[in-house]
Amino acid sequence: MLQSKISSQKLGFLAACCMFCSLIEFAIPKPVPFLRLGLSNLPLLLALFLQFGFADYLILILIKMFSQAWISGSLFSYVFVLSFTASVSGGLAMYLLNKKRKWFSFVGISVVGAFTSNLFQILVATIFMGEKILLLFPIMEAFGLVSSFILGLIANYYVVHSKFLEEFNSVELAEKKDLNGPNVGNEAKSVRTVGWISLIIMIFLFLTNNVFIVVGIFMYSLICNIILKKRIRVLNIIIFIFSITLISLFAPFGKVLLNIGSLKVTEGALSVGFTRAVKLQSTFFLSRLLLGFFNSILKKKSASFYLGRLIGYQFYYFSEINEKWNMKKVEGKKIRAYIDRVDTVLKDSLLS
Amino acid sequence: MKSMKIGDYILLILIILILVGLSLFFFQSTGNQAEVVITTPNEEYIYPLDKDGIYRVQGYIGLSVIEVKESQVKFIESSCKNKICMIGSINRNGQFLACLPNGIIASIVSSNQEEVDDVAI
Repeated sequence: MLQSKISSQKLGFLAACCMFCSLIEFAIPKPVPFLRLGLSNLPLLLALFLQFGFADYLILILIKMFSQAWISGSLFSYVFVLSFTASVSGGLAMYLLNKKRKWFSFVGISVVGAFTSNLFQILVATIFMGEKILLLFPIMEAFGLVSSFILGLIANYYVVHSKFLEEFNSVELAEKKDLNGPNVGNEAKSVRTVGWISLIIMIFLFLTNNVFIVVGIFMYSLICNIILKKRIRVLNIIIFIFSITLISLFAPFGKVLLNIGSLKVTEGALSVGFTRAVKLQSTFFLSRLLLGFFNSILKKKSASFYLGRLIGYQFYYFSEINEKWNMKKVEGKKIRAYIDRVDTVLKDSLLS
Repeated sequence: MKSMKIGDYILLILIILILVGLSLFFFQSTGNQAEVVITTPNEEYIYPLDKDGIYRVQGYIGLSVIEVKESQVKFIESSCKNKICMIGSINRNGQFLACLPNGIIASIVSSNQEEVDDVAI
């Protein structure tokens, strides 16, 4: 039953689409870190439309998740646990609903997927951020409802008008011999050393709750990220630490320092929240440093096994899409013009 | 919008209902926890009732030690002479313990209004 029915070229192509969507999503600045558009669910909807088998669909979800983590650098941080929960639960919900396509369009499937993934994600987030994070549930879900509704409408429009999907179903893609693994760039020895040190510090970080040690580790990882020229979004970091600390204040503990309306700022809650926030942010920074040596391992092990080929195709088509996207200009400003552009880019990349 | 099917509308309504219901449930379960409020001559402290702990606070005369154990609050040590404060323990919303010589009051406060009325009678 669990057998691949689709060629690794085609699966790789959709995986590349997921990766491309993640990249766009990552490039859009968001006011609050918990809100996501879920653009990379669009290729999953296409996979459902193309009637992927369960095994292929699951592989696509896993690849989507790993490429997201890879692009954002969160592979070794708590974020990965959250996105794993979200991707798998949402993906399964969409798959099950798709069995009843007679009754639902992509709007229903997309909305249920987003709702399920947000729900499971926030339940798991209570482990890392405390029970009070549940207060964010309505905001997260309301945002997810709107964005998934729009994505569903776009998918409905797209599957009817797309030339790419017609092509995708009928075309036989030739095997490519000269596949390169992911182009991970030049991993200098210093990067690997920093990676090893970061691994040890990461383990240490999980064992301590001392605010000074945690801040120290945060400074170390921040400086390393700056030296290695990783992208730092100062405003995002401040908003993240501020909001996690703020949420913790709703569980008061210790001396009352300040009264803001009905909210009492207590010493204990402030320290717990701040430590927690800085800790989470540090795991994110350390994860990026860890990726350094992870990449160097990946480069060596680019092989002929199934997953290796799949990833090879993913990166091959990803660079194709990227290239075609940059060449093609949008004619007109309506959303349909954008969808048409995406369609042409996908079709051209597929046939390249 | 034309492309939407009847099931979509049903799902949307269902999801909004579940969303409202779950939100209320989460607000209830995280927002209504009882707290132990300890006021001293100069400061105020807040601790959760459902978490055990031993807290030391400074009063007029000296230290008072308050213990929260299995949702029971009591003074286990006091610098005052008569030690009246160490006699009883409290476990319900609206109840309080006081050590007047040392100027320390420990009370249980919950945002759940029904329970307050119950105790007031």
